[in-house]
Amino acid sequence: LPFVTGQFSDTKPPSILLRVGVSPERRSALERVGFPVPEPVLVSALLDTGANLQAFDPDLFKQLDLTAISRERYFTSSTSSGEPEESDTYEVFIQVIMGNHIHDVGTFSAFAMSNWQDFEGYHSLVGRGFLANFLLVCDGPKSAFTLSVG
Amino acid sequence: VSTTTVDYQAFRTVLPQLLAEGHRGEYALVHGGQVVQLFHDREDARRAGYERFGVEPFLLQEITDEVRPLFPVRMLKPCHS
Repeated sequence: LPFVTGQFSDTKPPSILLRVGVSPERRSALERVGFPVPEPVLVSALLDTGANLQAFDPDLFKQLDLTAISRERYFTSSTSSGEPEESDTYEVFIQVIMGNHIHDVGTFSAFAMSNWQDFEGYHSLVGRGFLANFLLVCDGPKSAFTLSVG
Repeated sequence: VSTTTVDYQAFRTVLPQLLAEGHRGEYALVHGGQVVQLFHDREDARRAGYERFGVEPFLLQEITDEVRPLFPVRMLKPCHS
């Protein structure tokens, strides 16, 4: 079965390489009218078991020439004013690079979020909705993880 | 003002009425500044959006006044188009 392994440390969280493109439905719609289909974009993404969302830098959605599929109201632990925040979500098709294999995961709604820091090494994160498609094993003593198609 | 904002504002305007009419939990397909159809299933709404509007922007909005809790482990700033 396809799998990918990686290392993590105090300063390097677990991350994986993704190919993020337009959904199959969007691809078909573009092809029907003879528009070019944007190439998938390679991104490094944080594996975030604490998150119940997928989030990418807004630039990624611009590269894919996408408009929002929805606008969601939400609150987080840092929503201090009592008023919900709002963010656009976009529909993307996500693939995972697993060695020489490219694994199709599926279509997801993903939040447009900024404020990524370059030192972190990624501008995107995938949470539990994404991880529901995999078996994730964390080997703490070896500072290693394995993500496999379970 | 982006098409997303126009469509979203149109949805927010009619949201109280949709809730009052008992459509909570359904999905609104929004295009051209108006709610064009309601669906019980999000996937049906999504499919209809691509079939009817193709590459044109459209929104899928759940009919709810509940605010979703998000759990990112880091501070992220929301973005609007």
